[in-house]
Amino acid sequence: MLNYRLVAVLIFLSSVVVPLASRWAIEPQGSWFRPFVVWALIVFAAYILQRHRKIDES
Amino acid sequence: MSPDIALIAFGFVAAGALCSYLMSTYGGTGSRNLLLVLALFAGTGSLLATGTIEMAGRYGFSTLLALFAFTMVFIFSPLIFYPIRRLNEIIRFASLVDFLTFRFRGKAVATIACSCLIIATVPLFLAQLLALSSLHDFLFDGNGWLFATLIVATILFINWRSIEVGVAESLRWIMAAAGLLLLLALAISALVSVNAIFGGIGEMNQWVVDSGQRLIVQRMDSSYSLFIIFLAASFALPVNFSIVISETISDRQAGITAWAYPLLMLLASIPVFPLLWSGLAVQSASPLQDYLFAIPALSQHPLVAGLGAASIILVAIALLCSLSLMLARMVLNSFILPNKALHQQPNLSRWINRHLFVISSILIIDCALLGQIIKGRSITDLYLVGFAGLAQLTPGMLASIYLPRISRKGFIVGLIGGLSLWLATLALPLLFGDWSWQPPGADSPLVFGMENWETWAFEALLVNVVLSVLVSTLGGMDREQRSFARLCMVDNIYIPARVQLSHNSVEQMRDSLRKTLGSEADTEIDQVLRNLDLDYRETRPAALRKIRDALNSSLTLRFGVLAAYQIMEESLPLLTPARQEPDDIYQIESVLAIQGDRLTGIASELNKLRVHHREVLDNLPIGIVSLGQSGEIIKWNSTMARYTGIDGDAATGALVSDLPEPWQSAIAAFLAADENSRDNLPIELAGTTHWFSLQKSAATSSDDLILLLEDQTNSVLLTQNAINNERLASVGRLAAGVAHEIGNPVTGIACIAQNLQHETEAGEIANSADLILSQTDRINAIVQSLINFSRGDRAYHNQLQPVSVRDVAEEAIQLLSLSSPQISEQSRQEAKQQFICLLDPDIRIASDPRQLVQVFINLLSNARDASSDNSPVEISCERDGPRLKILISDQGIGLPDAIGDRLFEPFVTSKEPGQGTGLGLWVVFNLVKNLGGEISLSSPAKNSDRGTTAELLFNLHAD
Repeated sequence: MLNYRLVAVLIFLSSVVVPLASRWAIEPQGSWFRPFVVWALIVFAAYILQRHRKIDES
Repeated sequence: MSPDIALIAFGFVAAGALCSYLMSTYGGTGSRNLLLVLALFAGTGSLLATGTIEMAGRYGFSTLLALFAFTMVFIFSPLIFYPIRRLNEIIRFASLVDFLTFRFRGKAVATIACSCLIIATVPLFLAQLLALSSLHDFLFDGNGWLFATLIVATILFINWRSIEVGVAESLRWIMAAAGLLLLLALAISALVSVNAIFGGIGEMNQWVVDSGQRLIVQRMDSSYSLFIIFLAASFALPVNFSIVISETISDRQAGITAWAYPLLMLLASIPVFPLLWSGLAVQSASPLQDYLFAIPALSQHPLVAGLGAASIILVAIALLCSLSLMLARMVLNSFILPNKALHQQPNLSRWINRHLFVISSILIIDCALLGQIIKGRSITDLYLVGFAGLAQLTPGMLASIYLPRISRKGFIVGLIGGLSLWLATLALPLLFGDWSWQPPGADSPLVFGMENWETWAFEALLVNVVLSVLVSTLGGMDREQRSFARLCMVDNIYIPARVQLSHNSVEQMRDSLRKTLGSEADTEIDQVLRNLDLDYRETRPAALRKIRDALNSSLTLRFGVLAAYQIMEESLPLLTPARQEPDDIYQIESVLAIQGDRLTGIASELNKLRVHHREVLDNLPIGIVSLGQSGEIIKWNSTMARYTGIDGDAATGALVSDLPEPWQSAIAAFLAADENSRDNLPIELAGTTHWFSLQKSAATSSDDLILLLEDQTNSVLLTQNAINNERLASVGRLAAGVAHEIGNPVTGIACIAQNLQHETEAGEIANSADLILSQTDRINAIVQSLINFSRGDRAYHNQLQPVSVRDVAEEAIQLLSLSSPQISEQSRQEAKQQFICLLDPDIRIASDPRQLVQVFINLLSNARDASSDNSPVEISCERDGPRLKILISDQGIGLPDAIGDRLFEPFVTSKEPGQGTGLGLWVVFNLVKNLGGEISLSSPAKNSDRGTTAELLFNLHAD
């Protein structure tokens, strides 16, 4: 069945997290490695989501 | 020339190959998880080793967004890959082309999708060859033919070996080793370069700020285009598809890719910018795509440079091998096997392997030749064009699982439109140079090539999507397309239909399959039987359907969707199309039992209801059997299993004729009969008789039949005991009369014996002996009559025989006269005369004489008791077709209205307390029913204004 939780996460990411994170990541005064920090956080979130999800929940 | 670096590079390549071998030989589960992610990581080929540094220089942080987009397909794989993976568990696709062919149906789909995939992956082939060529130019002077020949020979050797030992597994290890080497090379190269050139990371950071690179890399002008193209390409990249849906990858392993693959990509992209800045800081003359080995070499780190060079060689070779073999498989499945007479091929596996090798070799050699004309091109450009081409397959792929209205025609037209535009505007200009066209009336010409790659990549994708939607909307879809579109939907659970097969046994299936598959048929059937834990004796339709499905799945994986479909249609055709058949209810049950926890919302609640109903049905104390239209058993509940000793799994899917005796005969006979219910059917189980009541009714929503069985053994035994007791009570009542009846002849014998003591004449002695014999005969007749009546062990063991109704009635009258309260001979004669038997002595019915005597005794006794004025009781009969109607009419007090409806219930009597047990008519009712007859009572008696008539209906004997 359609995984509503994943869709909700996708909508939340695209509408809230991505604009904020991208603005922070490429601030002119920011460090060059900020985008990697954002990426690492997403990987961590994916790990947490995956840990609680069974494969059949699609 | 850098011979040291070359030597080190080849050393690392050898070490990588050794590492691959060791991991494949001694690797445990942990290493298999790592293997999967590393193989996926290496599936990008030389992009990460060479292309990304160039991309970073060209697009800055947009590169990171592109690489991140490439990993998103795994983060959101539950929305994309898992639905396909679940379908793959049943259909088993060999490639993306097979999946698309299965969804959109038809040879045209296979041809176009395969062609598109081959054309779109050519730039990726060229990118690997270009990376190797560039490496050659750095390591060696002079002509690169020798190096190119060596690389091609190596690829052909690996391909040949992989085909021999198993493509998927073998290549996965090589790719994993390449991925590991690449990750190490990137990290170490960046570290040593930064240390050598800047002196440390802090100094590099300062240089980035001072040189303005921080602002340069922060530009995001091409970020959207890169994001979309990389994301779309990641869906259709053959390596991603084949690895994630592979059946050798467990669900848990597939789940790990959601975070492990993005993590590896993150780790691989961190060194990209330090490497780029190191090169820029020293103003290296090498092209950006060579930085991985050129900068460490410049920093006097030949070992690290060798590692970088080795990683490029290994990932390029690994990707070339895997891509060429995957494409070869697609070509074989889409173009060659559907037209091949497989049964004429003596060794099919060898033939397929040979063709795989030949096709993959042709692909590699063609691309190597083509690579000679693209020297000097950018690897990034090749990847961008290749990914834009692969992206053309993504709309169709997404439509397969989310848009059931997209038709075959829509898919084909969209793909051809998008691919043509891509070819004209990006692919051909990349190979043969940019070109332009001045549209009439336009101010400036349209430039086709990498200058406007973002525009053309988007335009091609847009044309594809728009054409697909338009054509699908305007055109219709046939039934087959709709059926398969629904099957591929993301929320669909595949339930095989209850199809009618043209074969009734596994052997028949094998023989038929041999006609199209030759000797391979035996191998396939054996394999399927082993997997399903079945054997050649199997004849149950449901099991045969499972075997057919498994064969179809296995053949699809081996020969592709098209060839497998042809083989199945020719060898194991269905009697009616699958889509016209009802879903296999049993399979729905099985699938829901396994996958029920995937359901959410109302579906989940409905599933709970299903489980509840199933438990209710299973735990009902009556046996339930549901039969399909074809006589196939769909439901066999646990009570039924307990009654019969036949397990539900064994019975379900079988025909009634497959059941063991005595159930086969009993159920088949009942199903064939017109009656909808039958009581007290005796069935011998393990030497003991059990009695069952059977009922059947048709399901209202389908043609299925429902059969109910109830064990009535206890009830029957209780009834039998009550009947015996009642008879024994009658025997007791008769005993006094019998004693008196026997007493008279005994007295006579005694007198004759006394006379005999004094008799001397032979004639008189003989006369006396005759008299004694006649008296003993009389005693014998009385005793035999009582013995016959008292035998009760045969009730409910019907052995119907021709019985003279008159004989039985007279015997009953005789017995009743014994129990008469008037024990004088005269009274007894009067009692006998009260009963007027008008029965024809020649009329015979099919009955059991002992049980029938008991029936008559009870009815005549009731009639006599009701006739207090000794009014006559008439016993008559009349034919009613094949049946005989026996009427016992009295002129007594008749039946009270109060008990009219409950006459045949136990303990119901109209007699005074102490006069009757109330069991007589109940016993009569049970005995008559057991003898296959019917009984009814009516009051007043027929042709009278008083009394009662008991009407018995029995089958006449056939003779």
